[in-house]
Amino acid sequence: MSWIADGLLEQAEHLLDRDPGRPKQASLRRAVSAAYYSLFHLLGGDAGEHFLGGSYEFRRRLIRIFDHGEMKGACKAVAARRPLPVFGNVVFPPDLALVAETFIDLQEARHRADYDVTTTFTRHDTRRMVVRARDAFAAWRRVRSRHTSSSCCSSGSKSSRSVAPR
Amino acid sequence: MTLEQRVQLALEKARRQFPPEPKVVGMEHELIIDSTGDDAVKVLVKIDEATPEDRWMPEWLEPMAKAIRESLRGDDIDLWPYVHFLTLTEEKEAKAEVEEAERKERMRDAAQG
Repeated sequence: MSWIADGLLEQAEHLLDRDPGRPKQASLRRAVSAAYYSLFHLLGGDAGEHFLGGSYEFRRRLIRIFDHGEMKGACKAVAARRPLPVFGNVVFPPDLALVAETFIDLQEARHRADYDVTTTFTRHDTRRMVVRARDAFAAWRRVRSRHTSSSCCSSGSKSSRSVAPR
Repeated sequence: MTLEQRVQLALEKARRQFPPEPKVVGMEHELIIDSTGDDAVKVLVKIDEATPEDRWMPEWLEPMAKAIRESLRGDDIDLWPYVHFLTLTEEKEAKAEVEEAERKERMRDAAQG
């Protein structure tokens, strides 16, 4: 569902620049939320398309099976360079760690933005989150591109293998 | 040594690894439980007011966030750091907006009796 992901990221960027002068808290909150969901849809959509396949009709329903907490747990393992049991002994490329770190930070920020009325958001910090989402998009697409252009997994030691979306 | 003290030390170590720019004028942290129930640490990095706009881009800020993550990991502290960068003025303005909105809500409550 790349079109949703790209659209949400554009929306986040638009909201950042919507208010001349000091941006409204509501705009910053929605920007954070849109940035998180853009990344969520990018990863969920690609996972559905590349790991599970099927028709568009099937895949567009698939996004509902992705659990935010489980995705965060997997991201923490990747960010900490810990092995994920489902993949065995793998070496995660730095780009994947960047995506994972961004996902974790955005998920928490999204939760505060949507539910915690006592917290406040600043323009610079919100812009950083949105730019990090944009950077994570680029990193994810590099990982995908490298993986699809290579017929074998080659990084790490002989006993390890790399992991990337197919 | 308590967890709080270990975190404090790890953050001090991280700060020594920060690049010279943008200038950091203070750091605060708070042990929290995040939205999925995990123990975590919220870190506020206070940036100098005179910092030029281009120094707020991730390529300037992320090395600091990375230093914090790696310092905690290096000291075997299993807390995810949620790092935020802001100036004191930004922090005050954002709080003032929320306080003003809350003041209006309370006045409305009072007017309704």
